[in-house]
Amino acid sequence: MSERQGVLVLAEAQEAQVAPVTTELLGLGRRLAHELSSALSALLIGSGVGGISQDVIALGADTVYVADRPELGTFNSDAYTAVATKVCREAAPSVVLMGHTSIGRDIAPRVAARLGASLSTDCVDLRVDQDTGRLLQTRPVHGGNALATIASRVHPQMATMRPRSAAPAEPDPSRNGRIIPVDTSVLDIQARVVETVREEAEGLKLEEARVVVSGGAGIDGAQGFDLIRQLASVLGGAVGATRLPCEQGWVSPSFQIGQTGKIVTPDLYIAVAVSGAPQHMAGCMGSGYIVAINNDPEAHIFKLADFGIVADYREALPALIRKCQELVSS
Amino acid sequence: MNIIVCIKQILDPEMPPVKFKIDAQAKKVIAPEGIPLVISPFDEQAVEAALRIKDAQEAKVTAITMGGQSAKDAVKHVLAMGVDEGIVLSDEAFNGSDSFSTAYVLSQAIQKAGEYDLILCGRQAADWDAGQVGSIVAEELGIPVVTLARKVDATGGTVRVERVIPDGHEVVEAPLPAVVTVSSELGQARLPTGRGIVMAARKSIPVWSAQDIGCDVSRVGAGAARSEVVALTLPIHERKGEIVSGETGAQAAVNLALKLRENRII
Amino acid sequence: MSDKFDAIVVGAGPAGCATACKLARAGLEVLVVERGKFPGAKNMTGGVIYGPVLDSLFPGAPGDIPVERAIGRHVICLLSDRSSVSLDFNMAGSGDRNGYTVLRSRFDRWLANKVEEAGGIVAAGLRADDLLWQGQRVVGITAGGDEFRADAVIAADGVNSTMATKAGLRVNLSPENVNQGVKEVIGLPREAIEERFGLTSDSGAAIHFLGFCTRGVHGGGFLYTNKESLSLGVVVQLKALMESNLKSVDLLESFKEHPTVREYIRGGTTVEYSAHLVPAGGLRMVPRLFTDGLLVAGDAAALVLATGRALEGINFAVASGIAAAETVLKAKERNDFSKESLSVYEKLLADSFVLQDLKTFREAPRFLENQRLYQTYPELACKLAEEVFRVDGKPKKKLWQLARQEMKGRVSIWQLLRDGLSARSSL
Ligand SMILES: Cc1cc2nc3c(=O)[nH]c(=O)nc-3n(C[C@H](O)[C@H](O)[C@H](O)COP(=O)(O)OP(=O)(O)OC[C@H]3O[C@@H](n4cnc5c(N)ncnc54)[C@H](O)[C@@H]3O)c2cc1C
Ligand SMILES: Cc1cc2nc3c(=O)[nH]c(=O)nc-3n(C[C@H](O)[C@H](O)[C@H](O)COP(=O)(O)OP(=O)(O)OC[C@H]3O[C@@H](n4cnc5c(N)ncnc54)[C@H](O)[C@@H]3O)c2cc1C
Ligand SMILES: Nc1ncnc2c1ncn2[C@@H]1O[C@H](COP(=O)(O)O)[C@@H](O)[C@H]1O
Repeated sequence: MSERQGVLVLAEAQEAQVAPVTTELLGLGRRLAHELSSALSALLIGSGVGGISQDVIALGADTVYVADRPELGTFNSDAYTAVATKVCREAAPSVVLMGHTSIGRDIAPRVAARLGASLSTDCVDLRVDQDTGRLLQTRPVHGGNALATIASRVHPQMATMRPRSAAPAEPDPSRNGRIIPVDTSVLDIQARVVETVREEAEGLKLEEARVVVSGGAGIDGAQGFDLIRQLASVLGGAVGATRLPCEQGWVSPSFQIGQTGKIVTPDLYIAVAVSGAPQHMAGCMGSGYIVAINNDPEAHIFKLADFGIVADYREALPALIRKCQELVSS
Repeated sequence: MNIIVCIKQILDPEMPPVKFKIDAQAKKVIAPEGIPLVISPFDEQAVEAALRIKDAQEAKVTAITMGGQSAKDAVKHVLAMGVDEGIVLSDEAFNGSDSFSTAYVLSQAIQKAGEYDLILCGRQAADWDAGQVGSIVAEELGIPVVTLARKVDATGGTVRVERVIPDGHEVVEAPLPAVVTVSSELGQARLPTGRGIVMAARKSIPVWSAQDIGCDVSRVGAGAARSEVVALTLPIHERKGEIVSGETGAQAAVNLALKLRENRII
Repeated sequence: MSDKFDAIVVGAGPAGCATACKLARAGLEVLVVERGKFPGAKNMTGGVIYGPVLDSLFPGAPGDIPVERAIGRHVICLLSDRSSVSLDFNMAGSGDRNGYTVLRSRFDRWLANKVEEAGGIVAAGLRADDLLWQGQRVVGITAGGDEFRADAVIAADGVNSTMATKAGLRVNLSPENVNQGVKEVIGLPREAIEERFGLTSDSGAAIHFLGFCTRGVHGGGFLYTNKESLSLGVVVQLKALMESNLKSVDLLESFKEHPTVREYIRGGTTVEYSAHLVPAGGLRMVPRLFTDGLLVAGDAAALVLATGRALEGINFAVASGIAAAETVLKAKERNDFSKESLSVYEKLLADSFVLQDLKTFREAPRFLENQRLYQTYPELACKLAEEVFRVDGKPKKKLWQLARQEMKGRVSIWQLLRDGLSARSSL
C-alpha cells in the first residue's frame, strides 16, 4: 500500500481535443498531487490521440501514458478496462480519477475489481485528510437528498468525478512532461460496438449554453414546449427538461437534465413547471442563478431557487417572453 | 435461456424530500415510518427487460436479492410480474457489505442457482446510486458486461444491446453468458396482473445464507468493506428563494423580468 | 393453476385474517386479497384490542403477538379549554390487564403471516373490484382484471365495503352514521413514557378525552401508550364535523396544544399521521349480514361499539371473522352455501357479545348526539373542580351551591336530569 504514489487521471479526448471533464480532473488532480506531495500522471486512450498529449501536460500532467491504436478509436469497455488496469498496475498510483461519464462510469468498477481498489462514483468533492493522508470522497446519495463522505481502507483509492463539479485547470504551455507509450498488444475484447447512432441535437448544445430553460411534467404535452423554446431563444439559451417530458416523447431524451441525464451549469437556469426533485436538481444545482415558475406555492423548488413566481406557465411565459425581448433588445 | 435478474429493495427514491431524514451521528438514513420500501426502479426495468426476452422465446427468469426480512416483498412483486423463481440472500454476515462484497455474494448465489446465460442488473441502485455491482459481478464471474442498456435482445449465444450514450446510442454485441445493466430509457416496467399476484403469493421463496452459497465470510460484511462512510450530511442550499409577486401571473412574470435585469442576470 | 378456492376473503384486516386463519387451519383452500402493498400498509386504528378475543385463535395470547403494552390503567378525562378532570382506574399494580395496544402495520402483518403459516394465500397489492355472480349467487370476485372463484366470499373490506355494497346488502355511508378519526403516532423514549404515565415496563395506559379536544364537535380524543411511542387522535362524527366547518387536522392540532396533553407528548416527534373512517351508527347501521355465497364481517358490517368512551372495533372484527369462518365450515360440511345455510352466521353473532353488546347499547348513538356532552359538561366539571380545590381566603361554599352557580346560564336542572336518565337507559 505504501509503495503506491501519485495521482493518475483517465483523460478523455473529444473531437481531437481534451474533453472539458478531463480539464477539470487535471485541475483537481494537480491540487491533490500537491497535497500528497506527489506527481500527477494521465492516461490517454484512443486512436491518433498522441497529438493532444502535449495539451494534457500543459494542463498539469507530469507524465502521460498514451495507448494509441486504431481499435481504441471508439470506446470499447473490454479494451479500455484492460489498458487502464495495466497502466494502473505499472504506474501504481495511490489515487485514480475518472470522469463520471459514459466511459468512466463503465470501466471504473471493472478496473477497481481487478486492482482490489476502492471506488466512489459520482463524487462532487475530493480532499486529502491532512491527518491520515486518505482521500475524502464526497458524493450525493439517495438521489441528492444527502451527501456522504467516504474514506478508503485500501489503495488505490479510485473515484469518478461528476462533470462540472471541479474548476478546470488553466493551461500552461511552458510545462514539461514525459510521454510514455503503452503496450496495447493484449486487449481481451469480447463485447463489440457494431453500430453507433447519433441523434442530431437541435440548436445550442445544452452543456455549453449560458442560459437553460427547462420544462417539467407540468408542461403537460409537446405543445407547451413551444413557449419554452421561445423563451430560450429570446435569451439565447438552450432547452432542457425533466425526465417525464423525455419519457413521454414531448422532447428528445437527450434533453433530460439530472442525475441520470445531463449536468448543466449555466449562468441562468429557468425551471418551468418543475417540482424540484433532488434527482433533477442534481443536474442544475451548480447554475449561477436558478429561477422557478410554478403554480403551486408549496412546490419544493421555491426553496432551491433564487427567484420564483407562483403562476400558471401558460399565463406567465407569454408575458415573460415579451418583456425579456424588450429588455434584451434595448 | 436462463436469465438472472438482481434486484434490490430500497427506500422510495421519489418520496417527498421533506420526509427524508438522517442520523448524522450514526451516519445512517432514518427510514420514514409509513413509506413502504420499493424495488429500485432500474432493477424493476431490468426485470422488464428479462420478461420481454421471455415474451419472445423459451426462457426461465430467476430474481435474486440480498436483503433483510422485507426482501421477500420485493421478490413477490417480480414473481407477480411474471418472473419464474425468486431467491432471497439473507445473513447477518452480509450486513454492511460494500459493492464488492455484494457482487461477490450475488455471483456466489448465481453460480449456486445453476446454469445462466444472461444476468441483468439495474444501472445503479437508487439509494446509494453507486452503479458498480453489475460490472463487478461480471468481473467475479469472468464474463463480459454491457452497461446502460435501453434495449436487450438475446438469441443464439449472443446478446445485442442498445447502449445509451450522451448523444444517442450504440449497439453492442457480446457473447453469452454476459451481464447487462439496464437504464431508465428501456421504458416502463409492466404491472403485475391479478393472476400473477395470486400465483406469486403461492410460491415459496427460498432464503439462502452465507453458508448455503459457500461464501468466504472474510470477504463479506462491514469488516470486508474497502471504504467507510466518515460523514453523512444534508446538502445546504444557499439560495434565497425570493418570490416575485404581481397582481396576475403575467404581471408577476413582467416583474420577474425586471428583477432579472436589475440584477444583471439578463 | 386452478382459480377456484374454498373461500375468498376480501381484506386482510383483523376481520379478514381471523376468518382466513380459522378456515386455513381447518384445511380449506383460502385466498385473501388485500389492496395495500402489504397487510396493514394503510390501515389505522386507535390502538387498543380489548378483551380476550384473540385467545381463541392464538391460545396463550399475547405470546408472539406484536403487542405494544398491556393496558393496566384506564383514564377518562374531561377537558375544558385549559384544565381537565379525570377518573383514573388503575389496576396496573395488581398485574391485571384488560387489552393491549398495537400498531397496525406490525399487527396486521403478523396476523397475515399466521394465515400463511396455516396454509392460506395472502395476495397483497391486489384490489377486489367486483363480485362474480351466477344468477342470484355470489361465486367469486374479479381482481386485477382476472376472475377468482370460490364457494364462499367473505367481505371483510372495512368501513367502505365495496363488496357488501355491490352485493346490495347495504347502502353508502351517511355522515351521521360514521366517524372520522385522525391520529398521530408520536415517538418518545421508553423511559419518558413510563415516567409520565406511571407505568412499569410492559404495562400501558389508555386515556379517553371528552370536551375541548373536539372543540365542541360530537366526538372524543384518545391517547394510548405504545412501547416507544404514543398514539394520539380524535374521532368525530362526520356530520357534526362538516357542520362545524372545522377540519379534523385542526382539531388534532388544538388537542395537541391543550396544556394537559402538551405535557404528555412533550419532546416527542411525529412519526406517522393517518386518517380513517369508522362506523358509528350502532345496531341501526348493521346491514344484512349474508346472502347466497357471501358473508360480511367487521367494519364492513358496521360491527363497532361506540359508547362515547372507547371504540371497540378490532375485537368485534375478530369475533365476527371467527363466526364467519365457523359458518363457512358448517356450510362446507353440508356443501350448501345458500342464504339459508349461511344464516347460521347471524345466530352465532346473536349469541356472542357482538350483537348482544350492540343491542344493549342500541340507544347510545342517539344519546351521543347530545351537544352538551362535548362542551357544557366537561367545562362544568372543570369549573366545579376548580372551585372545589381553590382556597383563596374567601368564605367557602357547599358543593351543591357551587354546582348551581356554575350551571347558571349553561344548563338547567331539568336538562341535567333528563340527560342523566337518558345516559342511564342508553349506556
Ligand atoms: C433513480 C432516479 C433517477 C432519476 N433521474 C432523473 C433525472 O435525471 N432527471 C429528472 O428530471 N428526473 C429524474 N428522476 C425523476 C425525479 O425523481 C422526479 O420524478 C422528476 O424530476 C419530476 O419531474 P417534474 O418536476 O417535471 O414533475 P412533477 O414532480 O410532477 O412536478 C410538476 C410540477 O409542475 C407544476 N405545474 C403543474 N402544472 C403547472 C402549470 N400549468 N404551470 C406551472 N406549474 C405547473 C406542479 O405544481 C409541479 O410542481 C429520477 C428518479 C429516480 C428514482
Ligand atoms: C381513529 C380510530 C380509532 C380506533 N380505535 C380503536 C381501538 O382503540 N380499539 C378498537 O378495537 N377499535 C378501534 N377502532 C376501530 C377498528 O380500527 C376497526 O373496527 C377495525 O380495524 C375493523 O377491522 P376490519 O378488519 O373489519 O377492517 P379494516 O381494519 O378496515 O380492514 C379492511 C381491509 O380491507 C382492505 N380492503 C378494502 N377494500 C378492499 C378491496 N376492494 N380489495 C382488497 N382489499 C380491500 C383494506 O386495505 C384493509 O386492509 C378505531 C378506528 C379508528 C378510525
Ligand atoms: N443487495 C442487492 N441485491 C441484489 N442486487 C443488488 C443488490 N445491490 C445491488 N444490486 C444490483 O446491482 C445494481 C447496481 O447496484 P449499485 O452498484 O449498488 O448501484 C442494482 O441495480 C442491482 O441490480
